[in-house]
Amino acid sequence: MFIYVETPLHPGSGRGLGAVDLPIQRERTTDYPMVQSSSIKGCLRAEARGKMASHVLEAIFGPETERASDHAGALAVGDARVLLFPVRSLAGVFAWTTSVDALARFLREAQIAGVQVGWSLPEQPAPETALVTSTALQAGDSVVLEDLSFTPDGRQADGVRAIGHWLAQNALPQGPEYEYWRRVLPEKLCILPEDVFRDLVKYATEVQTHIRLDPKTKTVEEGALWTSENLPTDTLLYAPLLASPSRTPKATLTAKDVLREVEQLGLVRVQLGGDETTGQGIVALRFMNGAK
Amino acid sequence: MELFLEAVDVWLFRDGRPFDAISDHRAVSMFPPYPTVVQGAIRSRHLVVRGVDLHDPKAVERTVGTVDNYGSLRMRGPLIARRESGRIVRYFPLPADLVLDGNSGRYRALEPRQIASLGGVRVSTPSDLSALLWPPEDLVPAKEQPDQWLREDELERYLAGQPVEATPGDRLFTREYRTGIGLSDDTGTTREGMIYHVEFIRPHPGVGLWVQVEGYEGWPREGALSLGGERRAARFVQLEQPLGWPAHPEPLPERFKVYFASPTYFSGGWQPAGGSWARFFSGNGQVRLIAVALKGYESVGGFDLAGGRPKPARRFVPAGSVYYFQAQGEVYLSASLVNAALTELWPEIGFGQVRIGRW
Repeated sequence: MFIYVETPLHPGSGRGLGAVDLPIQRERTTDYPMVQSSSIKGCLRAEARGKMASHVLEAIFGPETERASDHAGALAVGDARVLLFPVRSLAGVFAWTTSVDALARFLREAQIAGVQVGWSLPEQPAPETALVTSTALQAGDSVVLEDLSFTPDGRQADGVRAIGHWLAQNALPQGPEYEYWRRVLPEKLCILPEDVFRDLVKYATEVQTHIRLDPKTKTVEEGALWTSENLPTDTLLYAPLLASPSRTPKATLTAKDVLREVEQLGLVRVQLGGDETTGQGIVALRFMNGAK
Repeated sequence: MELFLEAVDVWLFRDGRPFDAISDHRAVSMFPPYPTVVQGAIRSRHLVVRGVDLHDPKAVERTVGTVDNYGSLRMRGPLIARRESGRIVRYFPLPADLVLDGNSGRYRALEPRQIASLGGVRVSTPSDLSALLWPPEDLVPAKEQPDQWLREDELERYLAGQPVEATPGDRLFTREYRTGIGLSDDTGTTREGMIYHVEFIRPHPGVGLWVQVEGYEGWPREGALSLGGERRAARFVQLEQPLGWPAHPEPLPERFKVYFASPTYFSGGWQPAGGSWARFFSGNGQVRLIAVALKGYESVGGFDLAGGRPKPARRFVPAGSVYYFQAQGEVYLSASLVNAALTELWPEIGFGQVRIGRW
């Protein structure tokens, strides 16, 4: 399942001790942003309610909390991980950045799901270079992302373009409104050195500052200033969905049936993460079938 | 076959403590999990491999047995393992009789000493244990770090009586804490009492679990299965070069110790009821237990999915415990032991796996 962020996404991790009051969830070892699988599963379940017969819903997602011991659900959801991360670029408005490490993780999980990708991992870019496909991101002789400058490396342009093309055709949402984005993704794709990518996903997220007004005096309430971290618009995440045969006698579903039921919910856009009523977290979903 | 399991993201292996709304909101993970966790995952996957209809109880029982009968399954592990230079290396819990030597920075084994020869020492141990475990004379005690593991080659050195170096657990895996809330579908707000805090295990890249499975055929060379809490995914691959499990010395040395690589159960608590080891050892000689190193008990319970109720919790001797024996005459590990396991409960799935050393 691919998750395309259309409005900034706040998968909150609770209060933070760092510079940001409300940080987002991150993997412990890599600091890559992620969305915990419990959030994704809860979101899918909420969307499925009313669209599925209740016994099918329970067979797939499991019973209500009060009857959690009756049987396990047939659907297992993994954490959503970052695949493409948009970064402000001096030329071309923004670049979709990724790293060989992030692509390798995606390949690993694609292999588990039986997904055949038609591309292979590029070689690691040298320090201070960026693998690009064309001059769309070049300003003069450099690719400038945020305040960092990179020497563009076009020697692996064909491989990078193949990755961009595959992602455009298989990972971006399928609607006609994404025609432009599918066309420009290969041009905007930029593969960065590992440490630079990790620094960007750590420090180039969207940090919003909020205040709360006293309704009587129309001034800021005491102590009501806080910062909130979001994944920026145009981030692309992926999450593995694994299924097993259903475990309740009320519904007989094979593993393929389970995945088909989820796909046939017809989910195009859902809301994920916090701050729903201020429009945060609208994401577009796309499902991809594996062979196993 | 031998399997190497790797996490897709994180794993959740609960210990035996309760985790209910309102009363407790923190779940703690243990690593490696008990064999009960892994056998559930293996048997579930075997049902899928065999294409068994999960709604046909007789077919399920024919394929993987029941809650109390494991059928043809013989399992060892799980043990922490890591890919090192293209091969799989296993890591074992630190033996309970090792202490850190401040001089060398290595771990050394305690030595048994006859209580009768220790003047002025009074002990509360049972009277049939004739020895205490005593630090060597030239050992300088040092403050130990928790969560240490022995690589397999270091374990071999330990079993041969040599000082060893341990690997800190945070080089193998890290603990990841996550907070969650429950939302009400009707109102879209958080539900009372539904905030929770879960500790997950995130193995480092290349670190996973080693499991040996006998009796189940037809598995693919690689694939995925669900393992542990929240049905987290695990990748499995069959090892092309199996590591095996070493054979035990025959006959056993006159002075031998038994290291438990996995938890074990004895009806007498930490020893068989009545203190009789006749069930586990055979031969024309006699075996006497003279000392034991262990660090408290572990509660092993679980959930009976077929019966729809919790399994009774039992107190197990933890992995890493060491039992010191003295043999007179020819003594062997009994050939009738299932899986060569020293346990009174569930030897088929990996409890009671031992390695024999000498002292």
